[in-house]
Amino acid sequence: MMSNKIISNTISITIFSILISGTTMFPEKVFALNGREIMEKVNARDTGDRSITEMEMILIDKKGNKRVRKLKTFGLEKGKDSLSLMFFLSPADVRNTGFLTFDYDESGKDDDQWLFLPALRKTKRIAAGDKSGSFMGSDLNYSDMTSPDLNLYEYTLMKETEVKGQKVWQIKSVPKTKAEAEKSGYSKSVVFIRQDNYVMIRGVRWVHKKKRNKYLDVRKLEKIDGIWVSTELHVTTKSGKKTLHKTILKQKNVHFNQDEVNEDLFSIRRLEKGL
Amino acid sequence: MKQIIQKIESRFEQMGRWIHVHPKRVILVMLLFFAILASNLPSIQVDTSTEAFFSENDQTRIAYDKFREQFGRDEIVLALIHPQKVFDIEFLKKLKAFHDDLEEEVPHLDEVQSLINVTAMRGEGGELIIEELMADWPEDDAGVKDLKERVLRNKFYRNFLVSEDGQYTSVVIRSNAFSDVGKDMDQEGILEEGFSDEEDISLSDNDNPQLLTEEENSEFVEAIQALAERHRNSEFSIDLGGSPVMVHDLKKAMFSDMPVFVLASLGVIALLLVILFRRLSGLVLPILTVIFSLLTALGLVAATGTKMTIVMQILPSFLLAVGIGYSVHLLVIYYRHLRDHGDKGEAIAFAMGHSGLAILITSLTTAGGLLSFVPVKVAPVSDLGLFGAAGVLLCVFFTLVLLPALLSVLPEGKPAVVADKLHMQDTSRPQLSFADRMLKGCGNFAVNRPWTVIVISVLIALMSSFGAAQLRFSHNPVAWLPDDHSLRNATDAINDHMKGSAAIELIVERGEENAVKDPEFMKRLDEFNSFSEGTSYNRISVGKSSSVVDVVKEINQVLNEDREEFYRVPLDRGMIAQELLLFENGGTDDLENLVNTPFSKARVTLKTTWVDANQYTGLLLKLERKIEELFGQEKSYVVTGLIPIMVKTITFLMEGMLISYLIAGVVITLLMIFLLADFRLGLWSMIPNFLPILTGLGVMGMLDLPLDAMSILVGSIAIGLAVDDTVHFMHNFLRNQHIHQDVQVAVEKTLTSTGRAMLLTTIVLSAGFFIFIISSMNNLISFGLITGLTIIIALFGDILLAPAMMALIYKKRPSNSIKKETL
Repeated sequence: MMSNKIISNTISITIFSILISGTTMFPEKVFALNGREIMEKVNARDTGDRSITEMEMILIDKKGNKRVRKLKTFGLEKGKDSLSLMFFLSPADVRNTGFLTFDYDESGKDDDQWLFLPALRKTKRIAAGDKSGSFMGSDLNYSDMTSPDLNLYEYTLMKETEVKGQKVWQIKSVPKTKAEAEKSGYSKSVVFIRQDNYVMIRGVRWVHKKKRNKYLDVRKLEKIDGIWVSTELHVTTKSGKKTLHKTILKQKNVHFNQDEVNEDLFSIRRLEKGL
Repeated sequence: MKQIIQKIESRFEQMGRWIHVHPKRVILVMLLFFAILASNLPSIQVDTSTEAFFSENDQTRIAYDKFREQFGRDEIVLALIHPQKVFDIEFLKKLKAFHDDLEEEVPHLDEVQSLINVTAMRGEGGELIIEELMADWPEDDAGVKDLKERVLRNKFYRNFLVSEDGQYTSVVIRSNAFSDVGKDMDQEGILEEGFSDEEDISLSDNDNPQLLTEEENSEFVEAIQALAERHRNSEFSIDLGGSPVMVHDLKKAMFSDMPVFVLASLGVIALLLVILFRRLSGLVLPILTVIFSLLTALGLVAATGTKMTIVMQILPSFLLAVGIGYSVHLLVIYYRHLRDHGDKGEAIAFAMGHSGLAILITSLTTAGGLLSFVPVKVAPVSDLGLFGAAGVLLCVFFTLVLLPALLSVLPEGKPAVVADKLHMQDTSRPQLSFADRMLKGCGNFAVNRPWTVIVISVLIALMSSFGAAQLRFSHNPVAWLPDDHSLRNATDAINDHMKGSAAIELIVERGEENAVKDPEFMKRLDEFNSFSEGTSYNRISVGKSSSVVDVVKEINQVLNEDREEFYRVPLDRGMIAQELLLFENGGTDDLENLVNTPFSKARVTLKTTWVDANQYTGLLLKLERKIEELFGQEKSYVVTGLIPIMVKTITFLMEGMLISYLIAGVVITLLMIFLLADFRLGLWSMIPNFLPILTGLGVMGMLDLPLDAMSILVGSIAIGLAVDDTVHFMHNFLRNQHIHQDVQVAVEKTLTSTGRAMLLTTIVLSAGFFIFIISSMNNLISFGLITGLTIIIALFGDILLAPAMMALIYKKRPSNSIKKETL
């Protein structure tokens, strides 16, 4: 009898100790989410469906010269894939130039992209296997605009910290292969995810093969129709302390669940119609 | 005038006495002065770049810096590779390995471009593909053949990444334009750095960024050279060329040469001092004095932030040779007086009084010759003029102040004095009796057959003028390296197979945003491209002309099913804008190199062969005429880049030489007139000075040596030094003539007293210049040879021509001969 009690106590104590020690030694695994899990939730976050937005892109060079581009964008979630249609509103000489993109979730499947040039009156399909290219000459790459394939990256939760008064997770993400680094254009990233809403509020990216860094900073975050939307994003490319280029991306008149946004919209025919 | 001279001489004598009484104080003050200036030495900087030939305030340089700020560094390192076959899978793999290593290991790297990663655009089916040329490696012979065709067909790749015949390929390596100094940031630093809370969009923290330093350039080049060495083998030959390599190699040559020059100079000087004085103090004190002066002068260079350039590298050995002369003149008189009278203080005072003024004047003439370079717009030449003059004045200052003090303080070695007592006559030392006989012989010959001497001199002058007329200006830093230097071979190879690696850059400023996209403007850019590529002058041609219009034309073709007739500028402005948008979207930042962000400025790069800058003038003129025709109406345009900079250097050299020689000639003539207290005599006395210069230039012309930044110095340096001998000769001759009233006697007395010192300083100086023959740089070898030669000729001018002239002049002056019968 006595021995049973001792044994069961011993067991309880042992289990308890393991739990405690587990907590102090491996807090990540036992109590909180790990890097990968957080990123899964970030990817899974509802970014809205059937959206219409007016986008303003301000491109600033190292001398402070600005170029402004305005676009109207439509977005649709088709299952796990994302479709987007964009038209330039200004400057005048590129008005009605359109981009149609099918971003596939399936691992290894390249996106489809079509470009319509009004002056040419033709649509061209663009082979965009390489996402390291700049989006419209801005500081954003295509890889910044689409969700990454989580299986291709190693995620590590570095620490918990604060950004602008909000608690965030600081996560390091490194491509598992050189091929992915080349494809995405980045050899490493550190992202800051808000704990309350899983929005990536800040990021620092190391550009592959160049001594440069990109700093992404969400300056304005608004909740529209229940969806968290980054209405102002600053992206700065720096080499050390020297700023090379900067892009300010603003989203205005953001509306979700618009009737006119359906699958028919995302077609070459519609692309060629323009605005 | 004579009274002023006598007054000054007696002042010097008093100074000598005073120093003898307070030697320790003097030494202390001088050492303090030395320490203050010399302490700056560690901070001295070097600059062997092409733009270093311009001062920082010069318009040409400012325009060039502005251009680099906008478009990055235009200077590239080109690795030319000549395999058995370029279009071969095995070779391409090796090329990729080389390319990857470069990207991985070279510091301060901006980009590496080769067939491996260059952008390619093509249309396939209804698809537009913008990707790296080698995104898909060819897998079989057909694939390789296809690749070869695509590459050779492309205007952009030809004569840039691949030779026209497809036998050579190159890897183009570009460094950052700006300095990395202080930019090594680790992960923490980078995270800290990024996010500021300012809403301010202006990026003013970028004002006045520092350009890449010469140390960083060297690190950049050395890493590439090491990698080339690793990858190089019989099937993968690599030639490295380009101006960054030139700048680095010149710097290396300079660094290895300078210590050798200084040591060799010191060695030669030590030897001569030992022969002359045969005592420890005679060896140690002059060397000490001159070393102090040199270090003080270099300290001054460092303190003012002036950079050591290829031209400035002659300063140390130059000052050593010149400075020694002052000590020698003083010591010769001092030791003789000491030997004859035994009293140190008296000997110092006598030497100072007897030689001080003459030494001072010779230093002033030398400094004057050097200062004549200051107005030259070629910065290294101007700097040498200024600091050379300062150095010379410092030398004479130390000689007339520190040396007497050291003499006072140091005990005299008896044995040498005893030995001297055994040789009472001037001409007693066996080694020098030959010299005395020679000097005496020349003097007599000149006085007795003056017209022979004059006629010969005139003949020499005529021949030299003929030779000098052949001279041509030149600026080609690559040619300064030895003929078998790897860079020279590389430059020739690159010239032959890739049509060169040097560039002329045209930047057209339209003033308005997006104005570059205007079809009419694009057409003009296109017209200029075609015109330049066909342009040649003499043997120079433009191998390639590229600008943003090439991108537009290529996209236009690709978007139209790759049909060749669409390789043209679109008529519609919208088309151009959209095509450029497409290109921007394609992932390359190539556009940055061709236009500025607002599309208000367009750049045209004309790639040409690297030859001597003097061959470009004709070509540039032709191009400039066309530029004015096509773009004269625009807001502004500027022609810059390495070639125009080098051509401008030549222009500055030409102007500078004219000004400098004129100033030197005038200033020194005035000094002679002042010293001789006689206008006509002063003028006549310049003939033995100008003739050697003319002869030196004549020899240069006949040997086909060019007039470049180094050799234009010959005239003004040589005249500043040559005139010293004339000063000593005339000064003593006049005194002797006044006493003896007999030209032959006066000449003989002069040559056997001061003549020995003249001979010695000529030997020391010419040796000091002949030392440059061991230099690794061709321009220095020629410079040393010619200047040394000129100095020797100057001596002959003073022991033959000057006496001959004096014989003629004084025979014609009845008022000077009281005793007419000398025979």
